[in-house]
Amino acid sequence: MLVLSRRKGESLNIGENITITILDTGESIKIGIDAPRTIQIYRSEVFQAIQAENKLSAKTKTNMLELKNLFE
Amino acid sequence: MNSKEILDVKYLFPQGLPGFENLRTFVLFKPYEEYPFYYLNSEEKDVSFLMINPFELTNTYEFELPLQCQESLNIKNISEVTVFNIVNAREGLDTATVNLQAPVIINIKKSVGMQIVLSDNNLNLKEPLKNLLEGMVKK
Repeated sequence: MLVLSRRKGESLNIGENITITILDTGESIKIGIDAPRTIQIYRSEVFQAIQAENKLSAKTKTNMLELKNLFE
Repeated sequence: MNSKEILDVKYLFPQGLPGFENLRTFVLFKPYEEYPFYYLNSEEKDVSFLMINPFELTNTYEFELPLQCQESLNIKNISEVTVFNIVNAREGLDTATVNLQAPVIINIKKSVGMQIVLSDNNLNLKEPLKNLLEGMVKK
C-alpha cells in the first residue's frame, strides 16, 4: 500500500482526474474528493455491506424454483 | 412500456453486481404472473437473485438517480429506466428483507444495468418485505 503523509489543506492526485484533499484532521478526518462523475465513490464499509447482502441474497436457480413453495 | 417487454431479455451489467463483479450478463424473469417477484438470473453462473419492482408495491420509495448512474447507463429519459430491489429470502419469505439502499437500475432501451448505492441514510439495507407489501415504507 502506498502511504502518503498529508497535512490539513494538502491534496493528492489519483491519475489526471481525481483530487483528494484533507480538509480537517482529528478524531475523524474530513476528505474532499474531486473526481469525474462516472467514478463511483463509496465509504468502504457501505460498499462491503452491499457485497455481503448480495451474497446472502444470491441463490442457485434450482433454489429459486423452490421458492414457489414459499408462496403457498 | 409493457412490463412483458423487459422479460427474457439479456442485460449487460458492465461492472457486475457488488460481490459478483465477474457476472456481467443477466436475464430477467417473472416466474409467476400472480406474484410481484422477478428473478435476475446470471447467464454465466448458477446464480439467481429474487427481486421486486418497488413501484409495484409502494409509492413512498423515492430517490434521486445519481448522475454517475445516468451517465454510465446512458439514460436520456426516465421512461427508459426500470428499478428493482434485491430480496434476501434466505430464511423464507415471511422474514424476507429488501435492499432499498442499493437498487438495481436497468436501462431497458439499451439493455444495460447496474446496482447503485444510495447515500440516503433513511433507506434500509434490510427493509422487511412485509413493510413494502403493506405500503409501510416511509421516507
